Amino acid sequence: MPEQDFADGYLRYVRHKMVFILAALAVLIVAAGVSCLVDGRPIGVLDVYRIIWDHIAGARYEYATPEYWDDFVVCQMRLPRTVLAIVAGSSLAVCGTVMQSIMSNPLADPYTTGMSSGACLGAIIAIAMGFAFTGPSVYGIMGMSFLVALIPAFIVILVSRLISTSPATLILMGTIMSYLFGAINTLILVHQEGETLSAAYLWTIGSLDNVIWSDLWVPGIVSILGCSAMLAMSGKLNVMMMGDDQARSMGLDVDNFRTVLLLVLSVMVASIISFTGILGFVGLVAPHIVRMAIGSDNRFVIPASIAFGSALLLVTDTIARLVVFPYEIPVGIILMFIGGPLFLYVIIRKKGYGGIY
Amino acid sequence: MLVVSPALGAYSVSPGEVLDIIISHLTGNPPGDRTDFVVWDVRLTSSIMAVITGFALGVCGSVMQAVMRNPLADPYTMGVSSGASLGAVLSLVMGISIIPGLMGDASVIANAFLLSLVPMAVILFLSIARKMTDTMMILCGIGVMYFFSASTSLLMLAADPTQMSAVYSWNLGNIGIGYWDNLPTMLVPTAACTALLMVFSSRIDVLTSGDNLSHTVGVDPFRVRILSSLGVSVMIASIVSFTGTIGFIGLISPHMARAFVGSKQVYLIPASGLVGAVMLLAANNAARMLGSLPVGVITTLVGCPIFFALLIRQRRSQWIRCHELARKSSTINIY
Repeated sequence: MPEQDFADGYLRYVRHKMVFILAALAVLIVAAGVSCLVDGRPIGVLDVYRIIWDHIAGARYEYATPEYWDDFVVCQMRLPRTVLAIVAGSSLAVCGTVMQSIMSNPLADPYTTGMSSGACLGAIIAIAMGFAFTGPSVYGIMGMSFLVALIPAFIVILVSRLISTSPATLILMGTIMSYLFGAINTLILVHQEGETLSAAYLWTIGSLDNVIWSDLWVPGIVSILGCSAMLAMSGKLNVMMMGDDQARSMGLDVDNFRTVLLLVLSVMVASIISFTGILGFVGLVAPHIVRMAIGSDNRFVIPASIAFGSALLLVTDTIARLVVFPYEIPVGIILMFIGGPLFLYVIIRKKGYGGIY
Repeated sequence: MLVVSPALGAYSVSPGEVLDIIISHLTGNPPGDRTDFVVWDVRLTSSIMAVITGFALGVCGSVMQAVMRNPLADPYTMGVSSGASLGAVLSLVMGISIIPGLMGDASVIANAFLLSLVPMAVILFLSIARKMTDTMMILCGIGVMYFFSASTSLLMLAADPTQMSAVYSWNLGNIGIGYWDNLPTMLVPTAACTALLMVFSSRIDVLTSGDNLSHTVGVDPFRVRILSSLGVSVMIASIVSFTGTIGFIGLISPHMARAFVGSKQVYLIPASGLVGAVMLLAANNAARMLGSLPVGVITTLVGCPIFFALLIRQRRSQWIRCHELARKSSTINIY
């Protein structure tokens, strides 16, 4: 029965991908538990899950009992950072996946196209100059970083519409823009004292340090909304990957679709970057590894990137905290060490979808 | 320019006074007051440093663009500067010398030199192994640069905050205050390598018209490439270890010089060096007048838009068209 074979084949196709996604999720859950163990107070791995579960179930402890401190350390000190890693990782990975599809450019990623540096510059302008649209609040910083992140996004759109350029040229422009933003950043920061400067410098590398629950609402909600929107769009993204002409003939308004998606992506990037600083390469590394494993069907690549990206950021962040134990190094550096070679590999490999030139 | 530039800055001195002070120093009776100190020991050294650095960067840019046959090449975009700065930071912050037994300046320069060879080697190797476009070459340089700058940042975290602030501004390229003692260490390699590259200039010219053609006229393209890369790296290493990474001078000055003297390397190398020197001196003055900014910020602010324009206008440029013709004619690769 050929129909039966076809159905079986499809099931196998889906099962393979589901296994990958579930495996990534499993890694994520284990990594989340482990990331709550690092530093100070010794608590067992399984205890972490129990404590979190009890906390969610509403357990409250008397002040200063051992249970109280366990609960406090896990839920107030370590868990926010873990959650931020998951939120940031999933958002950035989705942004990378979507950008690579809509620009048919394997190197696209919020970092390489300059959006991250734009968002970072916006946040620094807002913080340093107290200049923001709704006052110096969280929303002001985010709004400012969103606005500046739009500049590279629109330059990318304009350039790709008006001049036919190769993907490599587009990325080169993004890189140049991030140099430019970096220089303006310096212009703003150069007269700060050593301590501020050093803090700002760490921030441009990107770190998940010092986060509390109340910071997490905005990025959390934005990234949940954004990721679900992109999941819903994944069919259309598949159409986009076939090239503009093909996509048009299938009835997709290519230019507007691309513009709307880039707007949404800028919001997502700005909401993350204004908290964490520039976390490069999550959006480049996660989708590429996912595609190597399960092919490039966006309906599966996007959920897989969500799971894999958050696991990646969580694991690298835990590594960053462990390498020189009592101190920690910014997670951005470790990402760069992974991302730089992968970037080179993507440039020079011979074949693959959407070749670079 | 060299006379005017010490006159600019927060402590005002007139150009005439500057000239007086310089002449009095040269004739052997320095006045020794405060103005003299500001002009002779602070601003003049800084200006001379800017001139040497600009000259070296301009020369390197022009040679690299010719050797790589790539109008976007420059010590900064190719990652050479980032390698050199990693080497320098390695020895400044951690006190590690790759060649054992060297101390002080020598170890800084040796480190910087060895590591600045890495990106060049990677790019040369890759461009032989794969057919690559101009932009891909630069992207490879950027990929290597990411790696190096991550290592540099890692080392900088080991530095304490005050040291960090110094290294930070150095990382952006800062001429700041020069010292007379540093100048010979910068000047000698620059002069020697420029001379070497000038000797090679006719062979570099041959190289720009394609590897096949250069084989026919008896120039081994590989050897010329290696030798000129070595020259460039020595120069960059001796500069970067004092000034940090200054971007885009090496990119812009050959393009400006090419407009005046054409693209023959005998004229282009010195011309591009001079243009670079003038530009960096101007940028250094601007940086000082705007309140002691790192000069790298100014060159990046000016250089980025120009790089952008070059990228966009790439197809229309005459230089590129010649270069693409050459590439088409050498589709059968010898290697």
